Amino acid sequence: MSTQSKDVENLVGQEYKHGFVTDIDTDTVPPGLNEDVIRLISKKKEEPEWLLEWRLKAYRHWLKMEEPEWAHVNYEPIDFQAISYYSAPKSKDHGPKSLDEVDPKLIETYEKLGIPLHEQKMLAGVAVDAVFDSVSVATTFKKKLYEAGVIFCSFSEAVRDHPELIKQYLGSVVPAADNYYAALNSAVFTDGSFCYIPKGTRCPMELSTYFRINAANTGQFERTLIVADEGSHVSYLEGCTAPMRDENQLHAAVVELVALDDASIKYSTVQNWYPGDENGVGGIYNFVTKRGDCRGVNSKISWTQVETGSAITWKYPSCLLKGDNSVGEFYSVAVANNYQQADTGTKMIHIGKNTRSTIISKGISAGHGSNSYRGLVRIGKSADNARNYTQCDSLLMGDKCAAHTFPYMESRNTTAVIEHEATTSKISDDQLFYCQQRGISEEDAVNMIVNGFCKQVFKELPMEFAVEAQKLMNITLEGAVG
Amino acid sequence: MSNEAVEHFLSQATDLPGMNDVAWLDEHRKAATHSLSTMGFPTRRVEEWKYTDVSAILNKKFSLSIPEQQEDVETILSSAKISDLDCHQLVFVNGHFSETHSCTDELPDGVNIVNLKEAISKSDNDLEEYLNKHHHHEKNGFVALNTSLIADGAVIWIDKNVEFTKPVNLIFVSTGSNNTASNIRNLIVAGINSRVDVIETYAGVDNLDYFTNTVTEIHLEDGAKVNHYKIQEEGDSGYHVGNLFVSQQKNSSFNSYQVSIGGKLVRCDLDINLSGTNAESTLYGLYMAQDTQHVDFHTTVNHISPNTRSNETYRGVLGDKSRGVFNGKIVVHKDAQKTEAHLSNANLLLSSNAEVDTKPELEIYADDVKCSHGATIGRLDDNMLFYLRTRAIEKDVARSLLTFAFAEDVIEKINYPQICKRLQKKVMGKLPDSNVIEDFVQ
Repeated sequence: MSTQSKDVENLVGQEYKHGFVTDIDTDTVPPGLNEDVIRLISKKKEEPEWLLEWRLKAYRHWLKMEEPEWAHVNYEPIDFQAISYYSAPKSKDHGPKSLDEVDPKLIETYEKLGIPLHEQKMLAGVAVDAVFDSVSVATTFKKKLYEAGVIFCSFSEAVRDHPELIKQYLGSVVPAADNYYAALNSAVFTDGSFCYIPKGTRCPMELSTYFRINAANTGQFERTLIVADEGSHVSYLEGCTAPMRDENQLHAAVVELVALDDASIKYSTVQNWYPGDENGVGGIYNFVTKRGDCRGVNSKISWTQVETGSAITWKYPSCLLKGDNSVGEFYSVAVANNYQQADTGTKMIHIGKNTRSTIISKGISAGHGSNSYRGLVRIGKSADNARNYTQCDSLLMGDKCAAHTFPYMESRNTTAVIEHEATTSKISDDQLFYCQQRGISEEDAVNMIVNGFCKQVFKELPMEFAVEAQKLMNITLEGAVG
Repeated sequence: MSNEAVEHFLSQATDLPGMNDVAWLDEHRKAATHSLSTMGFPTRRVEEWKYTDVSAILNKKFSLSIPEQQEDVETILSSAKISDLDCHQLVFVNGHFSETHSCTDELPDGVNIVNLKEAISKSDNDLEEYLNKHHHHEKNGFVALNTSLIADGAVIWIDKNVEFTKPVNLIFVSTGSNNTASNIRNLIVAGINSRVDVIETYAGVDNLDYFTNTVTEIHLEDGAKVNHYKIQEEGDSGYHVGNLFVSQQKNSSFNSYQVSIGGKLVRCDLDINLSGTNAESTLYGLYMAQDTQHVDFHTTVNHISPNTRSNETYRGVLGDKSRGVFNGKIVVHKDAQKTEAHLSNANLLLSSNAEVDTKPELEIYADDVKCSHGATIGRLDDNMLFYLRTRAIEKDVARSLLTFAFAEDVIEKINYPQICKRLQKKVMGKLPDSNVIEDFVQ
């Protein structure tokens, strides 16, 4: 906990730290979407015929779908024809063999973000598959992972080198026509990460991808696929920042996780995209489909997310608990400050026997922010002895913000037990008074209380992420109270 | 199909009381008819009706005309009455006031209890002021239907500072022939610092297809206190759609007790509006369903002014192939600071073919609030069962006993021991080994 007291006025006026544009030539397709663009993307990525067909099928389905409006968010309609669907750094042609060959400007960008690929990755023991715009430019620790038999590479490489795995698992958790944005992603996704953990392997390090949207007017359509084979274990980190921009950018990613028998996947996210300025101008639209499939018995999928950025967040990391005794977890902290809007939550679909799920959701609303928890817990007829526990708490700061809770609970099994509880309150004057009485400044007291409020979720994050998340929280909420 | 049903119902809007005579009432009916024709009846594509399909009601072509045979009125009425309860009583048969069965003698000054038809014929100004005051017909097709067909129901006026302690029991029975519909509209106005207890009882003959569409409006002026009980014991083939609208001015206090036991398809909506500061509301509810019964409760509590409080407790017991739906919404409007709102919903699934869908919701637009909700779906506690079993209580009896205790948590909140006793008996009657557990409960 920081102890120095800061000038609140200054902090409120502080601009988004990560707002800068790196000037790199990008190979960008003109805005617009039609079958030709999809063919072009597929061609540029040298994809096999079946994948192109898959994309086109998704696109044709997308054309028939309607944009969803049920989320508790308001935004200007998106012009899908005004988005450029492909953008790749030019320097990729030669393909960097090591970090030295990576465009120095790229490295500079990462350094500004505080992600030094050079040293900290060694110290932290993290293999980074850095995604700059849409093409992976640097992959580290490949060798160590290779020795363990773990496949961790960009999606395009995976399509080239491991087509049988991609063919087997792509779209098996989030079908191409699952929802409006997933269908769009399936049609136009450019790159992403692929990870396969072989049988009985414990991934030797935490895998991590840093996403960054760079070229202006380029929507980012990432696709992540993680397959944990029998008895394996993997922890995956995802973190994001984006440069400052006035136009809204669309981000419609799809993440698919597959856990086979006895496998476990831990997926952690820190999302800090540009939220727009204090008047709600600009900011990223974050419409993400994330779903994990506990396909095998005794499998486990755990989602942890810290959502502080984006103008609009629309995201429901879910678990399909198909295997008997499988476990689903969802830990989330979502912050909506200024004019941010977050509609997030999870779905836990219990199908197997003795399946268990835990949902801990913490929402913080400040300024004019609006934060909604939307969740579904469904216990199928076959899910004997299924168990769910849900807790979602909201913290309100300022009288213009809003917090909502929409939990759906559906049970068809007499032996199942579902519990849900939610509370909403502000930081009480008593708590603040107590801290200030002991010589803690108001700002620090608020930080302390907020961190205490989020602790249950932060402790689920890997160590280095937890520190980052805590810092992020303090920056995001600076000046929100007081 | 919905359009067809709308036309079918609206074609029956003839010869209504005060039609073409009472201009303001015609206005309301017209507006409601317009609402109904534009929005139609709700379908499952509407979020609020996601779990409840009303097409069965719309397909049946219910008729509002009075059936000729009503010989079993006495039987059903005697079973619907709450024994030993000293009360004023208004009886409606198939939605029409029955003077011979009603009794409202010796009303104190400042209390007026009449049926709506009569009130319309007298056409007083107060009725114009309060009836459909907040344009409830815009809520959904059933309220719109009810409003466009306004004909009869109960009207209760309590004047300023009158503490009316004798409860008023409104009894609505359905009998006669198949496919009969009752359209009931009740209005309760509690003046400044007044007090009244109203019990609505709904009952019907078993094996009879009928439809009850009821709307009750309650207006509480400053400092008024109203206890409202609704006991729904419709026949096993009856369809029941009920809407309750409550508007509360400052310092008023409203308590609602809803018990739903009968009916084939039941949908109840409660809209509580805490419009004045310091108003408070307490809602209790119990729904029990068996066989293929479907029961759906949707409650909305709107905290509009600062310093308002609400507390809501709903319990559900679902057996056989029944389905229970609960949706409890708490909305804290902008500026409604210092709001305190709590909601709890617990459901017991007794059979593996039963289903529960529950959704407690919070929508909050103010910051200085204390709100919470909790919901559970579960089974009987193994430890409790074990405890009873170690005391040589048979398994089925132990289960019944625990289920009864679960329901009793809501029943015991009712202030009238006569009603409690009646409901305890009804609940017990639905459980196996009721005769055995009766001994325990005494």
